[in-house]
Amino acid sequence: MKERIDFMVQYEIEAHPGPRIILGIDEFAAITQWRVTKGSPQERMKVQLLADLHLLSQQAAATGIILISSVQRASAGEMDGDYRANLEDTWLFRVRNKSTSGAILGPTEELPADPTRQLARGECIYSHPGEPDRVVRVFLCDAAKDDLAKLEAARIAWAERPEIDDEDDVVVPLRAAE
Amino acid sequence: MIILWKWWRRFREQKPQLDKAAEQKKEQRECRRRIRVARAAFSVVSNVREQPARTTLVGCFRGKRAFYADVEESNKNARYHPDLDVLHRHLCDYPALGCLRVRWAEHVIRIIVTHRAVSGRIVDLQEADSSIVRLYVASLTAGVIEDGCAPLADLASSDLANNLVEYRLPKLTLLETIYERMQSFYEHLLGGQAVLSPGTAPGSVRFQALAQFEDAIELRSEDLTALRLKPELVAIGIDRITRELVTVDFSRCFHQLLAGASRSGKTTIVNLILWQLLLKPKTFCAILGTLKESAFQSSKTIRGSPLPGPLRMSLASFAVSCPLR
Repeated sequence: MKERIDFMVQYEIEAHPGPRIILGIDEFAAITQWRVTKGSPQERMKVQLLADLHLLSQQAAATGIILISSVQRASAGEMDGDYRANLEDTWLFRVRNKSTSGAILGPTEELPADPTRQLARGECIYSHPGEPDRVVRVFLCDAAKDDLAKLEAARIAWAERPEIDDEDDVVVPLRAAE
Repeated sequence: MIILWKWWRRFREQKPQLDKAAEQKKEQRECRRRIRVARAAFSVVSNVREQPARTTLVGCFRGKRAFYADVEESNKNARYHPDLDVLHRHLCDYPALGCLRVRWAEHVIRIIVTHRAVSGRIVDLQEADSSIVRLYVASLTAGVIEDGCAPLADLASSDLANNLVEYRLPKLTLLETIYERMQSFYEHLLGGQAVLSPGTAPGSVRFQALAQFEDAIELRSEDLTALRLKPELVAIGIDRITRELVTVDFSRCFHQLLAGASRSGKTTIVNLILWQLLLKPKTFCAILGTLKESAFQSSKTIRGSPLPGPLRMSLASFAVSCPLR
């Protein structure tokens, strides 16, 4: 991130022209609830990691670094409030009780669907700043290992494809999530 | 004297409340009495009547009331069983099922449903005043079939009459709290968003959301064009109501928070985003930190494959990065 900021300062630009970096952290609570001995190197590592993540959540968006954090309950014990406040887009899946959903997206009555009862598996409420909340049925990503060779071949074929002037509309079937 | 006067004054002030409480108790006693009378009537009918020929015992109401299903003449008359008519009338007489009556009514309905399911007979309870009764019966008559699954909207009540199905209500008791929990179940059923099918265990039923039967979703050409022209767009899913494609524009750099219970689909979205990034290596790099390696096995096998520069570097660190291991 520092390299990117220095680059942006050097060229006096507001957005980094390089590729976006997606940092996905699955089960963020595993980091915050990591049991370490007091004064041990692991504790210092944990504190440093959380501080870095907090810094990333504050400043990384401008440099093209995007955080994706998943958590089961966005309570204070699982995710720091400041870190949580910097995550603007929210995908709320089915939760156990209303208090959990209330801590994430506010009162249940104001949501388009009750996340405790009216969301099936694979359905979520998408909250984007400045837009009304939507109930989204997520695509199922079931790429199996056998598909990797096909994907690789398709990627090579795509890179070596001839240039076509008129592009035909293609309908891509996608399986819906369960 | 003053004390007596104060006591009398306090009594006068509290008298309306006491009268109101007394009236409520009286109503409750009357309700209990009606239930007792009804139970006694049913038990008398059942005790007097012996099991007729060519019938089978299908249910027992609190150990006193036995139900017999006529197998051979089941489909001839929708209201063949006279006792069911009694139950029907009694349920229809209820203006509303209160907390005290709900459990009893649930027992009655369970017996009716069991009897009807085994004998293939339909009892029309749609005229009942109670919303709970209507809700039960509406869902039960909506779409239970013997073999396979079918959408509820395509089924009629007559489909039930020709099939023998075993059905058990999801809950043995129907308190108000449980009813609230089950409301989404019924909303799915009545809305045609789910199907019921006979379960593997005898007397059970399987509830499946209709989304599982949507094999393919055709995306609109303009959405695909937008996805093709703007590599920062990542398709996530489809709006449940408007059926529009929902995308995330990563060029605007919004951090994402995924929240939800276990097995609700959080990892699916992470996998989905990562797999879409594989097709756009010049636009994105990806780093994944997780403890659940099993959820990302497919991504792990790409490690070392001849992919372009930035993506290959990032994929080399797939399923690592987290210092906890």
